[in-house]
Amino acid sequence: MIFDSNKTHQQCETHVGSPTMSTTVVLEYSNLEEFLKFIEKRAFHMSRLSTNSVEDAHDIVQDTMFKLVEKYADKSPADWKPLFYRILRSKITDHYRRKAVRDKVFPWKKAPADESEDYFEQRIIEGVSTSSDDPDSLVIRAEKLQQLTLGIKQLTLRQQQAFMLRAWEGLSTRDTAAVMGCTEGSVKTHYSRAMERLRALLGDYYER
Amino acid sequence: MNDKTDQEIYKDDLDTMVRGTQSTDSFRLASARQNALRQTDRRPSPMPWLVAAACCCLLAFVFIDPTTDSALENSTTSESPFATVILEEPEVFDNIDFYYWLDVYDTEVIASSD
Repeated sequence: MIFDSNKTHQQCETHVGSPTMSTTVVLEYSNLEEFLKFIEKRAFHMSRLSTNSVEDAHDIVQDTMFKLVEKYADKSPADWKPLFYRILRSKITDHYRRKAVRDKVFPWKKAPADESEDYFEQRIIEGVSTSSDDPDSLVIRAEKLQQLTLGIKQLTLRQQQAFMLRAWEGLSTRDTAAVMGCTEGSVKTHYSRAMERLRALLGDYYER
Repeated sequence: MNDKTDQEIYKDDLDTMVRGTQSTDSFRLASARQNALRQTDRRPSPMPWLVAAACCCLLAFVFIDPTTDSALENSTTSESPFATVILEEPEVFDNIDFYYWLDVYDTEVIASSD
């Protein structure tokens, strides 16, 4: 099947929430190709932070895109984001399951080195360096980014998901709960613990 | 710092991380997106490998067949009438020499009659 990206070129505004509390959200995409373009980099970095592997992150994002187009292309554009992250979460969980089995079957095989730190050193600073800020602020920002990356890695998988979906992706508590497959109360708990932990870990770097 | 401020600061930094995505990764993501939209999976289906592995296992089972010999051995020992008698009547143990002699005697008689 070849997906026609213009097929879903429809309304950019959509109504979300309960009938009594309807709010209009302006989406930043109107067709599936724009949506994937809009979300792919964040999804890649989320996967990278969760799996500590650039290669696995690429595989996971591609599988997620493939499945979204295959199964949910005809859904409303407002539903794509929660669906995408739901698939992504499921793929990351599968990755951890496969890894656990691999570790049991081949215990002598060493886990590959954490590629994320290299990625950070080589690429984030390059990204930061494209701005016109002075070198001192660039270095401080690069350090903060590195510490933030390390801080996120110290969270549990559920806390990472709650933090990244709520703080980064801006999903509502309800959508985050749907993505994570848990209750809204659980999302709030994970999110507040994640923020608390990050604040404790990053306090020194974020109070300069 | 309250939660909202923290959240905004972290979000800004994470967005910086996204802007810092290297061009090779951007290229791979664009390629993955196009593959997904065209529904062309870059990886071959694992089904042929699974079928081949199943065939190899079946062949190995047929040729090696580790159960046959032991099963035969088990059946001859466990289904021997003599063993059954011993299990059912422990007093047979008392006359085991006699039965052994009888068995040898019968064999010799049969051999000589042939």
